[in-house]
Formats: sequence, structure tokens, C-alpha cells
Amino acid sequence: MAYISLKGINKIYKMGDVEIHALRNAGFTIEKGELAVILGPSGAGKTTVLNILGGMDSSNSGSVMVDGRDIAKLSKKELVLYRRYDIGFVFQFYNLVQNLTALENVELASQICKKPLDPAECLKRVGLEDRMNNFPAQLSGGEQQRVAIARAIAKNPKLLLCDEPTGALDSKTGRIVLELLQEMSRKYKMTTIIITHNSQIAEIADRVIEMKNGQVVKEYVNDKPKDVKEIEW
Amino acid sequence: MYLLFKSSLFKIKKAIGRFLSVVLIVALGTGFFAGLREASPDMVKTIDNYYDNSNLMDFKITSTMGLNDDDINSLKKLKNVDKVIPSYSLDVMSSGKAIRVHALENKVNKPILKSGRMPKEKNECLAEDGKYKIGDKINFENGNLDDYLKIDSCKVSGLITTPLYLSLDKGIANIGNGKLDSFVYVLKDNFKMEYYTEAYLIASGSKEEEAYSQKYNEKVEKLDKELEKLKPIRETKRYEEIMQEAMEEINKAEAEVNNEIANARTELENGKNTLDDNYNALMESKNKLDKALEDIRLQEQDGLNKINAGRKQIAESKTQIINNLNNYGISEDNLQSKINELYSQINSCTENCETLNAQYQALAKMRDALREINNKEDEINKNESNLKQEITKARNEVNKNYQTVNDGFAEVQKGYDDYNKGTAELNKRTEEANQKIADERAKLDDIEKPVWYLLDRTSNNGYTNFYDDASKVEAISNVFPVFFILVAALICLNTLGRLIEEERSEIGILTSLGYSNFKITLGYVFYCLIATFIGVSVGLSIGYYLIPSVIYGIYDSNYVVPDLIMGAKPVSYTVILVCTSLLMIGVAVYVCLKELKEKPAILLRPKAPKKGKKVLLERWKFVWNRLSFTWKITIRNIFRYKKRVFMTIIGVAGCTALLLTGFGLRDGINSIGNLQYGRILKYDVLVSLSKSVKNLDNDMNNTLKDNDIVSPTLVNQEAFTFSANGKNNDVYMLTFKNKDKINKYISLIDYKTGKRLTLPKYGAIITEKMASLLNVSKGDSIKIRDTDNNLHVIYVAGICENYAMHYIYMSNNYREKVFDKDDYNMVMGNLQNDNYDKISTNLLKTNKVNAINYTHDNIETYESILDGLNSIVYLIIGAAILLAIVVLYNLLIINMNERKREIATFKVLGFKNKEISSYIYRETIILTFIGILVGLVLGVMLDQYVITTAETDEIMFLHTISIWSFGLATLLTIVASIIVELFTYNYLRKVDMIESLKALDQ
Repeated sequence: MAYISLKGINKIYKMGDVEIHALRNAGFTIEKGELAVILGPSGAGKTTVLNILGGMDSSNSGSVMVDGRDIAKLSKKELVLYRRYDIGFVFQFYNLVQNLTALENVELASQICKKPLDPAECLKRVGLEDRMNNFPAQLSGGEQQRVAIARAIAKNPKLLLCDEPTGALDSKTGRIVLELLQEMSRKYKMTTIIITHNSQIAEIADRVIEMKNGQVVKEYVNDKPKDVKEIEW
Repeated sequence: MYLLFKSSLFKIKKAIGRFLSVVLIVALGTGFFAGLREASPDMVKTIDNYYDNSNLMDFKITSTMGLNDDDINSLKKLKNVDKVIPSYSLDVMSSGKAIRVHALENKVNKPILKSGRMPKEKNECLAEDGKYKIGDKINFENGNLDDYLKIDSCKVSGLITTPLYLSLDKGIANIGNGKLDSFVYVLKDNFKMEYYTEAYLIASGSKEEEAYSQKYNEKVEKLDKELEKLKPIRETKRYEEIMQEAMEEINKAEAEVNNEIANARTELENGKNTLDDNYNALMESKNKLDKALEDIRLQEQDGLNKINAGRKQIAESKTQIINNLNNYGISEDNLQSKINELYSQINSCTENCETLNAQYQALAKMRDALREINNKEDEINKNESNLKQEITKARNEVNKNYQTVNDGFAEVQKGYDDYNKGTAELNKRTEEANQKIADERAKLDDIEKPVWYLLDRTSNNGYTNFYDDASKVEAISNVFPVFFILVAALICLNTLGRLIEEERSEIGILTSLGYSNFKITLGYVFYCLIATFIGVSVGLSIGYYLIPSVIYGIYDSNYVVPDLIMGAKPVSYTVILVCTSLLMIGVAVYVCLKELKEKPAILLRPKAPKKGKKVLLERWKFVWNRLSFTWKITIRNIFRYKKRVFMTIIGVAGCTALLLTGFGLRDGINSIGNLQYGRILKYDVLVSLSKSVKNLDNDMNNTLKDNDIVSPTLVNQEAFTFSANGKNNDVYMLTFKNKDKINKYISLIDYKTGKRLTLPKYGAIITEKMASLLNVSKGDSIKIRDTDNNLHVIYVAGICENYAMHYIYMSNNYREKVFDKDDYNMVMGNLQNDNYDKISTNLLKTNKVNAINYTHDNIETYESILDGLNSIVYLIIGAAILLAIVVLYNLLIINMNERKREIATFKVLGFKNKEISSYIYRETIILTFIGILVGLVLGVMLDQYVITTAETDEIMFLHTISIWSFGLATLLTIVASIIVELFTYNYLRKVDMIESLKALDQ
């Protein structure tokens, strides 16, 4: 049984009288420790998948198995705990708390977890040991995203979800972030899912899931994932 | 243009909660402001209308000796008088209660008919609405009413109210228990008194002015000045008339007495003359008798002389004879025998017969001579005896006459004694009569000058109290609305600022599309105007009608007043609308222009988030490192969003301050009744004696004892006035006969130190409020005026705690020194039961007592006055809570709106709703507490201000706020804050996690 397995997911949003079918019978699997990329143009339903996987939204039908548990069946309260203990999230716009230093932002997440990693150590992993006491506003976008990654991994989650982590970054800093995510996956065996519309990024993934119009159109394992240095965009 | 307007409407629809909160805050601010501001003028207007309808007099003049036609005519001649209406009133008893019978006047003090009709018949009357029913028969029960009234009962034909009796407390009566219970109006013909009891005056042009206004006072003042001038003239004139009358009477009496005395004297003198005549006659008789006696003596002497002479002659003759005999050798005794011998010898004679014969012859001759002499002697002796007898007889006669004369003398002497006694008595009587007349004359000096009382409207308790209450409303309305307006303005500024900031990108788009700044700003101005218009309309419609009605309703229970007249106020309505609109437009323009200064490109990008900053506290690693994140964030946030912090603190502080002021007012107001009449004045009853006394006699003691008045002590209470800030205030001077008793009945406590004061020998202790009005302290002197307008200077030896009215306490020594008086006019005591009416009636029956004043009644009066204020306090408290809720809701919603993304992020990170809310609210809670602290400080100051303003000159409220009030104000603020947090918690729960994924400008 795969570490993560989605089957027959349907999601319908109602906007007034209009129904939007965000996901139509979508399904895929990801193995533990893999770096997976969900690829698709905007409106393909990849963020919806991420929301469902991250326990932020629920599907209308289908099952979402994560480490042997069907999170589609969890109650709201259980979902909170699921997010709290099992998920690390990296946002496109970092979503750091402006009023906390880098270290504190990491600590913010780690303090609510059962088995957190050392926040300083996490920051060291993302290469910001010298900027620990800086506020987000004093950091560059890439640095902020690295703090966000540190914050996500400090929770020691089962799953690291990244929503367009390079979307707001220039290619140079984006590359650093991707390198970091790849490292996390490879070195620390962190199951990582990156959502992006950038097909270049798919090249670094262990597994690629391509989506279109709410459906998974292609799902394949990349035998030879490239290093981030090798890709271009 | 139309689109901009439409976009304004859309903005409203999009965030209806925010719009409503702006509308609400505008409504609350303007409504409260307008309502409170309008309450006082509405009240005054209503009452003025009432006065006008009834033609309420400006002055009532009474005199201790009544008013006569001359008085009335001289009043009519005054320049500033419009009408002078002489009238009557009389206090009578009815069903054991004192009621006042008024003569019904058409032109002045016209009662307002509530139901029924005006009286037509002699025995019909108008009676107090609510106390009597139409058709009721009211009996007048005093004994000697016949002298004053033609009727002894009346039938109620109509029910009325009158501005003369605005207060439920109708004042004092001079009969019964001294409390006026009700009133009736009868036709004027029913009175039959020699003098008018009163005259009502209406000053020229006074009716046109609003009561209590400066202009009204000026008009009345003019007449007052004239009256003040006329008063002594008429008083003197009347006094002279009375004096004249009395003097004439005395003179008449004097003449009569003198006449009587003169008559008596004449009679006496006549008697004496008779006596003198008698005496003289007697004297004459006596003289005559004396002379008769002398004559008798002379006669006797003469007789005796003659007898003696005869005797001498006889004796001589006899001696000659005897000598001759002797020559013959014969004695008288043997003469006869010789003769006889010779005779015999002759007969036998022979010889010498001749010789013998001669001898015989000679001897016979001698014997015959002797015999003759002896006869003569016998005759003389007989004569002597006759003389003696005669003389004795004459003497007896004279002596008998002497007796008569002496008797006459004794009688005359008795007459003289009577005369002397009579004279002495007459003299005494004359002296007495003279003394009596002198006394009567002296009494003339004691005839008191009649005193005119010039009573203007302010002598009517209701008139003054109503205005005081209205002024209190105004004083409070000067402070509180300002708070509301201030907070409202700040909230609007904040809300609009937030609205415009949120719509940066829209503004950016509009700018880049070429819209002018003016037009963009106009869009927000529309928004503001709509909010303002709705808010002001709602606020004013409710505020203008609700608040004055509520306040008036509160006072309505203490007064008999007509329904509130709430005039349409287009002017103030417009002014408030325009001012509020301008303010709101100003806010909109200010915020817009601030945003529009930036270039469109920058506007299109999200506003850079505020930078995080280290705060000072972080330098103290020791403390900082121990804080959890949420605390750290909270502290940093507090220093980061200064505006929000400021707003929250202001809003909460405003609420707390208002609440504390409300509760503080309640404390200050409510406690004084108990403090004044429980802690400071501890007596139950003050009995005013009909006559001042120096000692409490047994009789009075027993009377008091019989009526369950215990521990009576003599006191003297006199009213004085003192002038402070251009106003005359009454003050009571209280002196205890027994200095030690004062502590039993009055707590003299130093107003600053709280220590017990003792009455000094020199100087007086005055009450706190008086000292503050006069601005004096211990060691200063004050001036007070007695009722005769004499000025006295009193040395202030101490200042004591006191809350109602003014008092001067002094020892009897000092009183004697200053006033030269040592009598007492009242008895102070405690009661063993609370049969007030019974005690009053019994005491008044004794005629030793003028009036009885119960502390119980005073407490009730104060409580009813204070009830009104209390309700205002509740209004304030309610409004304060509403204010707090609106402010906190507004701020929290804005806060959450601004932090939607942060909240969503926290949710994604797996924070529980509770954790997030405690994180979000912690800031609010801390700020609320800071706000509360600030509010408590502000509240204390505001309370001091309001309480000082709400005080009248006679009442001092307690300036301390109880710990409960602090607690309650804090608690209610917290409750308001919790209510708001419950409202907003829902909002927080609904924040969608998807927000965290959104780009920053969406």
C-alpha cells in the first residue's frame, strides 16, 4: 500500500448558481520519502488536491489515504490535529508572521508538535543560521521562503506540502528553495509534494502527477530525477 | 459619477457589518449628544409653557399683618408691575391633614383644569388631581373658621394641577403637623377677612420671557428692586398706623384714669374740709368750756374769799367778845351759867342789884352778840357749802361738755386717719396707673414692625428644584456627549481608514484608468454621507425623542408637570447633520488623499506589511526568553499597531470612565442621605417650641416623654444667610444648651482628617460646602446676615463633614458673645416609635410646639430627589456599555479583517480555534485591561467634574467612589468585551484557510 493514495476524488464548488467541478474522479499514489510534483496549468485542480491533502478542505467523494489513514473521513477537530502533527505547509507567499523573528516563526510551529525538530537546527538546515534573529521584513523573498520551509519541517511532519513555493521568487532564489526541498526529501526522507505550473520543476521530482481540468492526466515515476542545478527555467 | 455612487452602494453591501457599525456609532454619538443636549431645553420649555398657561405670578407678597387696600394701591403704582392681584389663602385641616384653601383668581396662578368644570356655586371648589375625585366633599375642620371663611366644606367640581405645586412635597403649613398635604381653590367671595393675606404680582413683560432665563430674571429684577424700596416704606407706614392707633388708645386710657384719680382726690379733700370745720367747731367749744371753767374757778375764788373775809370778821368779833368775857373771867362756855347765876342773884338781889343788873345786862348783850356771830358763822358755812356745791355742779357740767368735745375730736381724728389712708391709697393707685400706662407705652416699642415678605418664584420649591434638575441634566449633558462624539469620530476615522486601505488596489485601478482624485474621493464621500445621513437620522430621531422623554419621565415621578413638549428642531437637526457630515467627509478626504499621494503603480501593489520590530522589553533577555510566542507576538503587536492600540484603549477607557462616573455618581448621590441623616445628624426629631426658653421645664419634659420623645435636649436653631458667588444661601446656626449632648446628636468630623472635632469656646464650626462656597479655611472669619439683615462676623474654628444644607455649630458661650442671647427655641430628640402623624398631632395640640421636623421626612425628600438622578445614572451606564460594545466590536472586526491571512495561516499550521482566538484576543484583553486602568483614572476625574457640576449649592455629594463601583465598572467593561469576543469568535471560526493561499492583494 502506497504511503499516500487518493482514489476517486470529486470536488464540486458552488458559486451561487454555478457549480464548478474542481476535481473529477482524481486519484494518484505517492510513496514514502518521495519528492512528488503535481503539475498543471491554472484551474487544473492542483490546489484543490493540495487543500484536500493538507486537511484544509474535504472532498465530496473518494478516499484520501495518508499513512494508512483515510483523512477524508476525519472530523473537523481531527483534521486540525492532522494538520498540526502530520502536515508541513509551504506557502507561495511564505505567510510568515511579520512580528516574529525567523527563529520564532519556526518555534511557533514546533511548539505545538509532539516530536518537533530543534528550530535552530532547522534553520541551520535551510542555511539561515546567521539570520535567525532577523524579522521577515529584513529577509529577502528566498530567505523568507527558506524560513517557511524550516517552519514546515520543524514540525517533523509526515508530509511536506508546497504550494508554488517558487511562484513569488526569481529563478535564482527559486533554485535555492528547490534545492532545499530536494535535499529535505533526499537527505531526511521527507515525503514532499510540490505543486507547480512550471514543467521544468517536474524534472527534479521522483514522481510526477500531471493534472488538467480536475483530472489526473498522467502519473509517472521519474527514474532519474535531475539535480536542481541541472534544470533551467 | 453614477458608477461611483453605485460602487459606494456595493461597498456597503460588501461589508454590511462595517457599514452598520459606522452607522451605529454615528447614530449613538449624535443621538446621545442631541438627546442629552435637548433634554434640558425641552424640560425648561415645557415648564415655561405650563407657567404661561397658568399665568404664574412673578412675586407673591405677604405680610405678617396682612395687606390692606393702601398696600395694594401702592403696589399698583409701581412702574414695572403689570398686574397686582390681592388674594386670600388659608390653611385648614381636612381629615386630619393640612390643606390650603386658595381664592380662585382668573388673572394669575390659574389652575389648569384636568377634568370637570370651574366652580360656579359658593360651595364648589377645584381640588388636586389625583388626590380627590369630582363630587368629593371636602370638610374644613378647624374651630374658628367662621372668622375667615363663609363655608366649612366644599364639593369638588373640577380637578386641577397648578405650577404653584410642582413638587410632590407641597411645602409647609402653619397648622397640623406642619406639612401641607393638598390644596383647593374656592370662589373668592367665600373669604371674609379684614385684610388680604397675599398679593400676586406679575412683572411687566415677564410672560414673554422664558422662565429661568437671563432676560426673565432681568425683568423680574427690575420689579424686585422697586419692591425692595417699597417694602420698608409700607412696613413703616403700616407700623406707624398701628402705633398711632395703639398710642391713641393708651392716651385715652390715661385720661380716663387721671380723671378718675382726680375725682377721688376731690372727694377726699372735701371730706378733709368737713373734718377741719368740725375740728374748728370743736376747738371753739373747747375754748368756751375752758373759759367757763376759768369763770367757775374765779367764782369759786371770789366766793371763798368772801367767806374767808366773813369768817375773819366773825372771828375778830368773836375774839373781842371772848376777850371781853375773859376780862370778866368768864369763858364762852360758862357764860350762860354766869348769866343764869346773875339772873338768880338779881332776883334775890338786895344789895347791889343795880350793879348786878348792869352786869347782867352786859353779859346778856355779849351773849347775844356771840349768838349772832355764831349764826353768822353758820351762814357762812352754809354759804361755803352752797358755793362748793354750786361750783362742783358747774364743773361737772363743763366736764360733761368736755367729754362731748373730746368725743368729737376723736371722731375728727378718725376722719383724718381715713383721709390719710385714702390719700395714701390714691397715691398708690395713681402711681400704679401711671406705671401701667408707662408699661403700655413701653409695650408700644415691643409692637413688631409688620414684615413684608417678597417671595419670587424661587420661593416655590418645585420651581427651583425643577430647574436645578434640568440644570443637572444639562451639566451632565455637557460632558457625556463629548465623550461619545469623540469616540464616534475616532471609530469612524479608523473604520474609513481601514476601508480605504483595503481598497488600495481599486483606487489604484481607478487612478490608472484616469479617474481624477476628486472623483475617487467622491466615491468614499458618498459612502460616508450615506452612513452619516442614516446614522444621524436614526440617532436624532431616537435621541431627540427618547432621551428627553426618558429623562423627563424620570422627573415626572417627582413633579406634577404637564407632558413634555418636544418641538421640532430643524435648526439643530441640520446643524448636527452638517457638522457630522463635514467631519465624516473630512475623514474620508484625509484618508483618500493620503493614499492618493502614491503613484498608481504602487497603489496596485499590496501595501508593504508593517515591519516587525524588537521592543524594548527584549533587551531584558531574562524576562523575554521566558515569554511564550503568543505573548511575544502580543507584546510586539501592541507596539506595532499603535493606532489600533490607541483606539482600543480610548474606546475601552471611555466606556470604563463613563461606567465609573455613572456608578460614582450613584455612590455620591445615594450615600449622602444615609451619611447626612444617619452618620452626621443622628437625631430623629426636631421640635420647634412656640416660645424660646432658657430651661426645659418639667411640664415640657413630660409632654415630650408622653409622646415617646427620649433624650430631649435644648438647642437653638436660627436661620441666617450668607452670600457666595453672588447668591444668597441659607445656613442654620445650631447651639446646644448642653455642650456634651452635641456628640450624641451630631457628628462633628473634620472634613480633611476625619478626626472628631470639639466645639471650641471661641469660634464656630462650619460645614464643608459652606467653607468651599465662601472659600475660607480654619482661622478665617465669615459674615452672616440674620433675618433682620444685621451682619454678624463669625470666627471659623473648624470645618466639618456635611452633605446637605449648611450649618454653623457653636458653643453657647460663643453665641452669647456674638449674639448676646442665651435662649433656645427647639428641642432635639430621638423617637421610640415611628407614629409620626400621631406624635405631631399630639404635640401640636399642646400649643407649646410650633412645628415638628422628622429626620425621616428629610431622608424621604432626599431620596425622591435622588431617585431622579439615579435613573440618569442608569441611562449613562446603559449607553456606556453600548458604546463599549460598538467600539470593541468595530476594532476587533477590523483587527480580524486585517489579520485574516495570519489567522488562516495559523489554521493551516494546525492551531486550534481556541489557540488562535486566545492569540488574537490576548492583545484585545491586554488592551482592554490597560483601557480599564486608564478609564478608571479618567473616570475618577470625570466623576469629580460631573459630581461637582451636578451638585447644588445646598447639597454636597460624596466625592469618593466605592470599591464596588470600581469593581463593577471594570466587570461591566470586561463583560462588554466578552460579549464582543463571543460575537467575533464566530467570525474567526469562519475565516477560510484558503485565505492563506491567496495573493496579498486579493
